[in-house]
Amino acid sequence: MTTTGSVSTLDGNTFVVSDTAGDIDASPTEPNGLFSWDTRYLSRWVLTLDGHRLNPLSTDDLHYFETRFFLVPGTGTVYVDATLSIIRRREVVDGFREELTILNHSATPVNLTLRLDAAADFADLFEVKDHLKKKGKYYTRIDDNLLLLGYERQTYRRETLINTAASTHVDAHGQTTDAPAAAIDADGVTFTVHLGGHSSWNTELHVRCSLWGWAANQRVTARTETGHTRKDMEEDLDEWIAGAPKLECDWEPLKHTYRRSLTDLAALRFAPMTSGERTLPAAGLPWFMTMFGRDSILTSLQALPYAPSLAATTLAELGARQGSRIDDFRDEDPGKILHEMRYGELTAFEERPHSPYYGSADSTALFLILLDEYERWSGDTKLVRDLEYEARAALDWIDQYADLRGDGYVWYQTRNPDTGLENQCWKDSWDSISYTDGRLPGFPRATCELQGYAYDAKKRAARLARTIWRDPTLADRLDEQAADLKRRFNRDFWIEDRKYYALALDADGTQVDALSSNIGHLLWSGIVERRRAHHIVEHLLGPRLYSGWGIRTLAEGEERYNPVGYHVGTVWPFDNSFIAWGLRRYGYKNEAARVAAGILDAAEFFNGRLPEAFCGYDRAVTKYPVPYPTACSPQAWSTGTPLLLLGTMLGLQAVDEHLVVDPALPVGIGHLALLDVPGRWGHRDAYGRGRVQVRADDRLRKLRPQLSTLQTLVNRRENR
Amino acid sequence: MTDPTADYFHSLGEHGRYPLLRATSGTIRFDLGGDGHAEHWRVTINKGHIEVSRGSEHADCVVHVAKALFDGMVTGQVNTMAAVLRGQIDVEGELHLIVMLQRLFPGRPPLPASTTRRHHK
Repeated sequence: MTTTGSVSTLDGNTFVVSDTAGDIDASPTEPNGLFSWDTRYLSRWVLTLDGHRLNPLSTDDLHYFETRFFLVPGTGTVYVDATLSIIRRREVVDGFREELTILNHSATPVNLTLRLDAAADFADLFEVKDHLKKKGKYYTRIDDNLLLLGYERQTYRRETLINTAASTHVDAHGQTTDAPAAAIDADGVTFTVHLGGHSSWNTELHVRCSLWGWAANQRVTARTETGHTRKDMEEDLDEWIAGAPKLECDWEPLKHTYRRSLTDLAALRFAPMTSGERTLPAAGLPWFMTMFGRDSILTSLQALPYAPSLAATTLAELGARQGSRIDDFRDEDPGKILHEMRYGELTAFEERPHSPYYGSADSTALFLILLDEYERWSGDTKLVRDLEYEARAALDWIDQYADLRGDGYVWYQTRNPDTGLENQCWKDSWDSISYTDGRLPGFPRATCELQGYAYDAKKRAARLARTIWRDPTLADRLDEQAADLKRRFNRDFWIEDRKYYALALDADGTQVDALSSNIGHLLWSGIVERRRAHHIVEHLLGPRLYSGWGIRTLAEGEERYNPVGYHVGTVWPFDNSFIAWGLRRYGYKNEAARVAAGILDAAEFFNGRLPEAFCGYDRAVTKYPVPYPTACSPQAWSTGTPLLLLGTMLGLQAVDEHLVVDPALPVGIGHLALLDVPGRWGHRDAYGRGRVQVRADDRLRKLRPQLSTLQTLVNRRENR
Repeated sequence: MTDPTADYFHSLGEHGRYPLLRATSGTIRFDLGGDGHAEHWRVTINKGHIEVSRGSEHADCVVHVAKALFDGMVTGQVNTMAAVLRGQIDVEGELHLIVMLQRLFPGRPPLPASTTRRHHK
């Protein structure tokens, strides 16, 4: 969310998006509201004092689950009546709680009417996103201290329960007395407040989301069995931060970005309805607060050296939901790892296939890659043994179900043309895969990075088969298949006269020839022939792909290139983080550091929180990274990006029983250390020193490296 | 008269071993209502080994659902997870047991004219 002045408070897949006064006033295009399980439980929540909206003085994000709004009555002029102030404190815990306090700063008593307008449209997030109309009917019930807003469509019921509590008055001497209770009507709650001089008034409301309707709010969340209180959440967050490695560094903004990433990652943890306490990363706010195969896996990979428990849960949960049958509506096959799970009305009525939906061609190979990488770091062979069946089913899916043309490549084509996804790779918008001249290929399509993931998955599964499953026959077969795939890939995807790999093969096996960031993922997978790697690196850091902030999704000069196009010219931080990892894999340390520095520089402009994507404009032109108009933030794999980039700068690798450190820092960072990196070695520290000592006065003048001129900067300093 | 539910449970019990459920243990009771009577089926899962019986004894997970709807679930016409979200299935106890078991139910039958060429080796 980059809407100006919006505030998000969240806990797993329950979140509130409001304006800076704390008000929710949803319009068709603004995803404001209280959302839980993909449904909007409050579309209106507006506070007025004597009929007037309040003006925000400041907003304080205490924690990701708690926000405080400091408000004063408005006068319609630049001057405000400062004799009253209102504090609105909201915490998202089991729905949300809101505490309202009015302070009278003058000696004169006042009579006030405080009102909260409440309404719920129970929109499915898909309806908000695509502007669809509701099919059911609304109802309201008023009880003692309760306003119930409900929605019903056949057996489907969702209810919002708004409870009021006692109000209290505290006079100038600290004497506390009960104040009149709230009056409840169908459209909200009204408080009549008699406020003495230098006194305060206080009340609390509790808003709960009922998913099941009939059972009187029995099963609101998966976590209701255990006390899920604010104190628990504070302790949990402290524990989370304390369990992660400590960062030491002479570049202050990086420390801030690191802290922000760890906190946002904690906020994005999400317990699917049936997993009990175990959490995995949801994809991102506001549209994707749910389980995504690809996003959860890639984020878990990014966070492995920091929070390995995310990977374990992601693997176990995705394994338990692995495809088990052929279902065309859901693009499900046996062995396939899911794409996306949703809980809203459209999914419930099978108007959308997300229960769960299996339309991604990469999540299955990525599952195997995470399984191996997780074991390399953690030494958790038990999980690898527990998931042997799922891993074998995933391998079978790659060979049998993904190979739609029978030529040994991974292909995709949805079997649900109405509501399925056209593009089942990470660039899943309709126009992301094109030829240089702008034409779109027919289906099925085989994008290049899918082949890279399949290659890497087979190599890694071979290791697991050899060392843990004790099946050398399988291991040999996988190694042979991988070698064969690499050979064929380098023959069929390589465009000799342009020196890069085609974005995809089309239905006829013809190369889809656009230059794209996908070739960077090929480095990460290791499918690039070593003699060709330097060509790929030149393209990635050349002017057509590299913007100065990062590598664009599609190269400048391609017919469909658009710096503001979702997958056709914007820069995606997560994409860059995996490309940086790939550059390291092929020994391009300095280039990896350069990619890391550009993205981390950009993070500083977003106060340490990288959005999903930013525009592909050249750095020299805009001077700052322009956020993509409707990009998600915080978004899991953007949140994980600084973590992976830190790892690539330090050259962290889990090799046998050891943590290998091989640092290459960008200019501008003098020293960098991660202390207590957890893994099979226990805890180890990783240190890196920069090639160029950064002088204190350089930093004071904010002379950070302009990365496009990195080499000249180095030369200048070295020649002094 | 065909009874998809009875057919399904019989074949489920006959087949016996299900590697998909090898990490799952517990009992599920299906209380199938409709036409003024209720029938009870019990599915006992023991690390992937399944036994089916009739009876209304205690279970770790109790699923209340209309018989007609359940016929749809075991023939792939109705998706179990979507029906739970719709409020057509009431689950008491351990939800994860039914989430795991429903993976054995068939997928939605294909439309007559499938749009995808599928290669089978």
